[in-house]
Amino acid sequence: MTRLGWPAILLAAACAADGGSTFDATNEGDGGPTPTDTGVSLRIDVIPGDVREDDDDTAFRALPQTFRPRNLSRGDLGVGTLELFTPQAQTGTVVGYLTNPQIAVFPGAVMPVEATVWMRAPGTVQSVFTQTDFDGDFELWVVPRTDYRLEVIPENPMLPVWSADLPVGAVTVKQTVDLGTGVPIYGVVSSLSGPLVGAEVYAVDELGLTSSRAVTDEFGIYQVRVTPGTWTVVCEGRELGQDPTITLPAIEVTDVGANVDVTYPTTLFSVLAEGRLVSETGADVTGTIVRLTSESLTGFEAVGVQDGHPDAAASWVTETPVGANGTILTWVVEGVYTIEVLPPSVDSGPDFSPARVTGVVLEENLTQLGTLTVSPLVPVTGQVVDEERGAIPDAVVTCVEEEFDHRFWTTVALADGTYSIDLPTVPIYCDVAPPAGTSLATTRVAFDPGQVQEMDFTIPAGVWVTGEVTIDGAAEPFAIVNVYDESERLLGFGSTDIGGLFAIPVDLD
Amino acid sequence: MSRTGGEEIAGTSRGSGPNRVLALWPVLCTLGSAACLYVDPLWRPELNQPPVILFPEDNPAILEMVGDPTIAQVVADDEEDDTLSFVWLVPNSPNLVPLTKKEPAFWVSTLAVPLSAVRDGDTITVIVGDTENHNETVDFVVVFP
Repeated sequence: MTRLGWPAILLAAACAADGGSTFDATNEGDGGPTPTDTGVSLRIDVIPGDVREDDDDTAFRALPQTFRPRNLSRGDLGVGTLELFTPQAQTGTVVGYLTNPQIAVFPGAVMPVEATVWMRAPGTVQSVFTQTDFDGDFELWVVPRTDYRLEVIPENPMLPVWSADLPVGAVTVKQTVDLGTGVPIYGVVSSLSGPLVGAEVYAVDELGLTSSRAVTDEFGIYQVRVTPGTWTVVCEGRELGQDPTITLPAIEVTDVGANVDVTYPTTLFSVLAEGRLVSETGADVTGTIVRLTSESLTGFEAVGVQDGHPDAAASWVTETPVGANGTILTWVVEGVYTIEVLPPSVDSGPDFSPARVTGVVLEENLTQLGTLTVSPLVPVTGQVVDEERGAIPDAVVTCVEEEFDHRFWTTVALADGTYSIDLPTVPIYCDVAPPAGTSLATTRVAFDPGQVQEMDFTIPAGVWVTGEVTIDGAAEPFAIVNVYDESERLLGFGSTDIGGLFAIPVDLD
Repeated sequence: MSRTGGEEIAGTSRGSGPNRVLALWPVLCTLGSAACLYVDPLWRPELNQPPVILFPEDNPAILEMVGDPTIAQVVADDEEDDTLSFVWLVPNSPNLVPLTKKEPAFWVSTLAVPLSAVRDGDTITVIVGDTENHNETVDFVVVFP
């Protein structure tokens, strides 16, 4: 019933001609094919699907792995054997020194650290994370022979967030991470009303490593601890989300730390905005979300100047559900807003096109959103064909909103290649994936159904990316294979057959 | 015995040469020196079969969120080669776009699940449907390390 035999034969034939090259995890040169003419470089992500057993009959799942074959010929994208490495356990222990500045005779103590531990391999699907246990111990399963960045984010912001490069060879080595005391980023968060109690503050480094959140005390004081370096301080205000987020420009944190005060230049006054949402068709709009995103906030024009950070920025976003009878009612910070109407998720009831209004002023004496109107979806029809106008049945058409909430709709072309799908009247893109077994490549078409309701999708002929996925020399069936170009654009995807073979046509143009 | 014979006829009637078997029926009975009871061939409606989920094999399956994103996948097949659809239901994150494709021998659908989209213990449901409104469902239980 599963009919797995013939594609294996087909793929075996396709792969037989490619020389059977083998790539390592990062494939930075060794093991790659001989450089040829134009030199196509690809990124291939392999997501294994099968649970297998090791020599001790212990079940394990191979980990996702990224391969980067380079210098392939445009006419022959055979990548040979993609050998998945057997996962290795990376173990370690995290300790830190928790300072206690209030008691001089007992200034602190070395202790195991409860933290989130990441091992990131940028540009791959191999990043993994775990939590330390009560003793500060951790264990991660990683793909060996990969350059990782080990990151430790303690749950307690009084312990420093920490990172270091960690290249892993054929086998892992247990790591002992001593966070030390770190250095403090500290200060006072206040508004024109005084100290802001319960505000959340965190720090982000240049690579996106984010500390735990510190919460201001009754004096508005916060402290997060980091390792010296360049950090950006972000204050999100009180936890209910009623305050703007202030992002300060990056600062250099030295061995003595940094004092960073955050001042809200208003009393953080809110006004009640109200409006109404209706549908062109009279359909129920309950469940629709209205998102308000600030374009500018009243009184925040000079945010950060008082604290010596003139390049600071303030922003605020809130979402509110539409109530019965289309009522919109929400508290907002005074300012100028972009208002987006976001219909419920697909298939959860009446469906609408999203809508957007910009430049809406909401101030103390001007709190009316007015009546917003949403329109229904429109039917879009067409045919999926190849370059000779031949019908492509079973092509999967997936259309996604370019903006708003990126909702999506999917349909499958019928036997004559025709399709029909209801879409919103806003810019979208459609990915069209022809069935495997032909040389046709996945393609993407962008258009606006508000302007075009008849759209034929022409599927280009592609070049085969062929290969075999193995682990310990054995075929890896049902592994997902995603093929990207160097700019990370998805060119095509597919699955290995029961023999571990794959053949995915891609359009390099 | 007669019951088995009836099933054979019924089975054959769906394939090639049913008349030939029916014509041989009295001859076979005579040669066997036994009186054959006439047995109506069992009638079986031509039922469309629901899709079969080939992977994951466990239901519910465990989706351990070890990466960001973590990729879940479903492989399914249909006896009649019906077109299959895959609906992924992720609590509070309805707009994750799956990749779905017909392979020569099966259909495959994958979903990249960001860490921020799920919580420990969430259940992601995948409904695999064919053109005859037959549905098979597989659940993924989200587990954080």
